[in-house]
Amino acid sequence: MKKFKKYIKAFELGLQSSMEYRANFALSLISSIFPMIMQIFLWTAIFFNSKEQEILGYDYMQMISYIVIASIINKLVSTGFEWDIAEDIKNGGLNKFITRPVGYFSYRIFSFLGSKVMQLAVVSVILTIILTVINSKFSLGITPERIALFLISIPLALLINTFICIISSSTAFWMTESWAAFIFMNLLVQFSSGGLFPVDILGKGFMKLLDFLPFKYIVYFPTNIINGKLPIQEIFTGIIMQCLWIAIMFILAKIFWKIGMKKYIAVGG
Amino acid sequence: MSAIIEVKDLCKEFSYYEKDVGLKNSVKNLFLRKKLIKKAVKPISFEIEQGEVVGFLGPNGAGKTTTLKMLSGILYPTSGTAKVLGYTPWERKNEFKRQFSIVMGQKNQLWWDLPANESLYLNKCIYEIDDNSYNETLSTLTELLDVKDLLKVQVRRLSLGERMKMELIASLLHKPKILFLDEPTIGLDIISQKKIRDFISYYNKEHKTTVLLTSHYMADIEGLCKRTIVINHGEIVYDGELSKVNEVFDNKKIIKLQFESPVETHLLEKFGKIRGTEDLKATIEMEKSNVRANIMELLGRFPVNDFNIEDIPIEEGIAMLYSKGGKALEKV
Repeated sequence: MKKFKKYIKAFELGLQSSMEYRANFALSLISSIFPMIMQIFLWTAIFFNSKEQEILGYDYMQMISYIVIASIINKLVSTGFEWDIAEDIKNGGLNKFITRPVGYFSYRIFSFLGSKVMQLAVVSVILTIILTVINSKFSLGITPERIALFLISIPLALLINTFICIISSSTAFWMTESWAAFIFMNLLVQFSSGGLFPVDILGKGFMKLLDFLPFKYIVYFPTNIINGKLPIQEIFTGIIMQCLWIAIMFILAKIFWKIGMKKYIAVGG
Repeated sequence: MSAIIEVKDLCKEFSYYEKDVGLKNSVKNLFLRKKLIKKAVKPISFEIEQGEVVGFLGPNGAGKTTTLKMLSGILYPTSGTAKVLGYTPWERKNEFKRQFSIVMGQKNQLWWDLPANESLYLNKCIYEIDDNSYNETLSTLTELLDVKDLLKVQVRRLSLGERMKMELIASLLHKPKILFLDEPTIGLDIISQKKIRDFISYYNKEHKTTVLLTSHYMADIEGLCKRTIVINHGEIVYDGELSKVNEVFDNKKIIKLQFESPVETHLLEKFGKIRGTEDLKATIEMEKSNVRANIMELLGRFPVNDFNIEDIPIEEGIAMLYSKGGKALEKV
């Protein structure tokens, strides 16, 4: 138990740090609304200028409710501590972890989760309100079973995202300036996770490709659990896939870090 | 007593790139980079015993920090072996990490946005220190360093000196057997420097902690370390007592003379190397063995009304060691 206490403290410090800057916190929430509004305008324009009721397998209301829910889930599972890790690698902040009996990985993850708590709480409330509203208007068919599965899939999605973050941060071992790599990775995840639009509108071929990648399990999958699109059986397979991806990426992250650490040269002489 | 730190033929090379001035060369570098090797630390060997305070002295880029980083397991060496407390540092065993600390004067180890006591408490958890021992150590250390009132202040609002004290406290909570200090007094004013120095000295005497420190300030080394290892260009050029550095330089002495009336400089040249003349003063460097005879002659021949016999200042000895560079001198 004593061994675990350091990570609880790391969690607590992350939480405290996040509360230190309230304005920053509020702004980051507000700023994530803009892409959503843009999407709504875009799809409204597309639907109202089309003769079809359905476009790419979605009717107007389905599309809008997907976009609203997906945007919020996207925020819910967002990470972004790759910058902190890269900073540690570049400026030698890693040293203090190397010389202390504490695991860097676990420390970072716990401190990140701590800094995420406030956001999780606020975003969850927003999500609940929005889901209740959408459900009462268009009846998404939300059942207690789906809510339970959804609540399982979200932490798993967050973990997948966390490991993607750790893996892409390891590029900092090889490149002194890795922001371009991060932006690339970010765009890739944004695009193929379903955080911007339902990925199945890109066609069967693309979906086949995504089957072999972890990205769609980040946003597309949980969104489709709660909006009733996925049959229950497929949800179970999906959750198993999420676990599998977590295991694979955990191993990958370990390997990358092991090689990276060998290469790590603390700056300054 | 057996050595607590044993270093044998430890060596570290870095690779780097070079770029000539100008856009043309930037473009060239985009496609082809010539890899160059810098030997930051050439094979060095030394031993340190428990309770010793050893100073690493050397110009910038001499390899002091690199050596400390290898000894604390931050860097893998290119070749050679080191045993610290019986462990190989770069295997990074947790049992090893629990027994030492490293403080880098230029790097901040505390949480910037939170008060120091939060960071200290994190260290308590990391090192798995129990409550009683933590509270006791903390109150002793904060009292010694006089920072009790500052524990609740955000670290970013502390002055450099106060922050250094907090860093020291953070590094000593788990009562390490070895303390590595990389330029602990850098950027501090003279009084803060002295306080830090006194504290390290006191702590070493109380706890028999082995201290290995690097510094640019001669006062740090003189005040703290009996033994000094001078490194230059990655090689140990001197290992011994600081006050004896000058014995390496063929026992030279400096004679300062004050005359009543002007004396022609060239007349003094036969006594030794003229270091400088000014109005009625002259400074001559000469062999120790000649001092007696030379003084007698000088007093007899010239209108001397005052004279001083001095050692070559330590700073100068060190500077000479620095400039000699590659050629390692005999150990004392």
